[in-house]
Amino acid sequence: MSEPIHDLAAPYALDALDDDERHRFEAHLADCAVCRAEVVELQRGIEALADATATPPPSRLKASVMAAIDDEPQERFAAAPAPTWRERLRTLFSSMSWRIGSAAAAAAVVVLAVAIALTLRDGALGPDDVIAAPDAVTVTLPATEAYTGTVEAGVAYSPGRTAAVVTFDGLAGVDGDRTYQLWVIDGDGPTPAGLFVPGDGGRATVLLDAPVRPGDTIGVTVEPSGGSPAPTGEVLFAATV
Amino acid sequence: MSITIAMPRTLGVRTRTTVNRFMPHTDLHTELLTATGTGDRDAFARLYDLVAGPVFGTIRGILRDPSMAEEVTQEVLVEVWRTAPRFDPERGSAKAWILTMARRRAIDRVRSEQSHRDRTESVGAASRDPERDTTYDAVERAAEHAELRRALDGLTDLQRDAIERAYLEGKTYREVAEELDTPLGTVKTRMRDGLLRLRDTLGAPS
Repeated sequence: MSEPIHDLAAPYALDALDDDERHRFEAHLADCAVCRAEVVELQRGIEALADATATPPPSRLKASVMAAIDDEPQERFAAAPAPTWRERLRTLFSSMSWRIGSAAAAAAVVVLAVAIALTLRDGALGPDDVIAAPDAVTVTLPATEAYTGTVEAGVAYSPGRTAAVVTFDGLAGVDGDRTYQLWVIDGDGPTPAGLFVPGDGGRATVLLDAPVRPGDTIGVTVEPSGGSPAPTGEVLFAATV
Repeated sequence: MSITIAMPRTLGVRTRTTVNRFMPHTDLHTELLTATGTGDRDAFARLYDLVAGPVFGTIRGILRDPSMAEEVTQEVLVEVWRTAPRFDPERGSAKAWILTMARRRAIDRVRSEQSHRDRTESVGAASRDPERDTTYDAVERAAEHAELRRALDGLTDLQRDAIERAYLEGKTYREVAEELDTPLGTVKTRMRDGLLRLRDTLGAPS
C-alpha cells in the first residue's frame, strides 16, 4: 500500500474518480491482485447499502424492460486491452514446459483429425463434413503450464479459408458449470471462437467459429457455462498459426 | 505430438484456482451478467429479478419523483443489457458495476433537472414548486429518507459526510476534499473505513 495508486480503491468503489484517474486505476487493476481484492471488499459496502434500501419497482417494469431490449442491440464486444493479453500470452509461451512423448504417433492422430470448413460463417459445414483443404497445415496445440494431465492436441489450419479446427484426445473433463472456450487472438485482443466439452475419452474436434488469419494465436481457456465475452481463465493451450 | 504433463491434480481443481485468481467475486450476478453479454435473454431476465430492487431503491434514494425513478430504472436496466458485453470482472463485482450505472444515471437526471429549474428560476418564472423538486439536499435527505438514513447510521459523521457526497451527489473524492477542506488522504481513508463498516454492519455474511 505504499504506492499512491493503491489508495484509490475506495474512491473507485464509490465511482468518485475523475475519468483520467479511473482509467489509470483500471489499468492498474489488471496487474494488481491486491487492489482487485480490495475493490471487491469495498464494493460489498456499496452492495450492502443498495440491499438495505432495495425497493421493488412496479411489477409492470419488467415486461417493459424485456420489451425494450428486443429493440436494443448489444454493444459489440470491446476487446480486453490487447497489450495485457498479449503480454500474458507471451509470458505463458516463455514459461511453457511440456514433455514431448511418442510424438510421431500423436502427429498421426492429429493429421487424421484434420478438417477445414469452406467458410466460417457457413453453419452447415462441420469439421466432420470437410476434408483437409489443399493448403491445410497441421501443427501441435501445446498445453501450457496451467494445464495438468496427458493430452494430445492439434490444430489444422487453412490460410486460404481463414479457418481452423482443433482436435483433442484425452482432454480432461470440466465441472458441470464450466466449459472450454476457444479464442482467436490478434492485435485487437481475443475474440470468442466457440465453446465445447470433450466427449468420450476426452476427444473433441471443433471448428473455430471465428476467422483465423496467419499470425493469429488460437487459445483455449475454461470459462463458466455459456462462455465469457473475454477470457477469465488461464490459457491452457495456445498455438500461433 | 503428444504433450505429457504428469501431475496428480485434476483440471477441475486447477480451474477453481484460476477462477479465484481472475474472478475473485465469482457469484450469480457475475455469471448472469456474463451470460447476458453473450445475448442470453433468459439470463438477463434472471439478472433483472436479482437487481431490480436494489437498482430502483438506489435511484429512489437520489431522485424524489417515483415516476422519474421508474423511468431511470428502466433506462439503467436497458443499458445493462446493451453494455453487458463490456463488463470486465477484473474491474470489480457485477452487482457494483450495475449499481454504479444506476447512481450515475440518477445523478445525471438530478443535475439536468436542477439546471432546468435554475434556468426557470433565473428568468423569475415562478416560485419553486415543491412537487417538482427532484433533488435532495443533505438535510432533506436525512429527514426524509428513513431507510437510507438507517443504513448510514452505523457510520461516523465524518465517514457519512464523505460517502454521501460521493454516493448521492456524484462528487469526486478531490471535490469532496476541497468542499470539506480536508486532505485527500483523509477523505480516502474515511471513504474506505465507511465502506468497510457498511459491509460489516449491513452486508449478509458471505
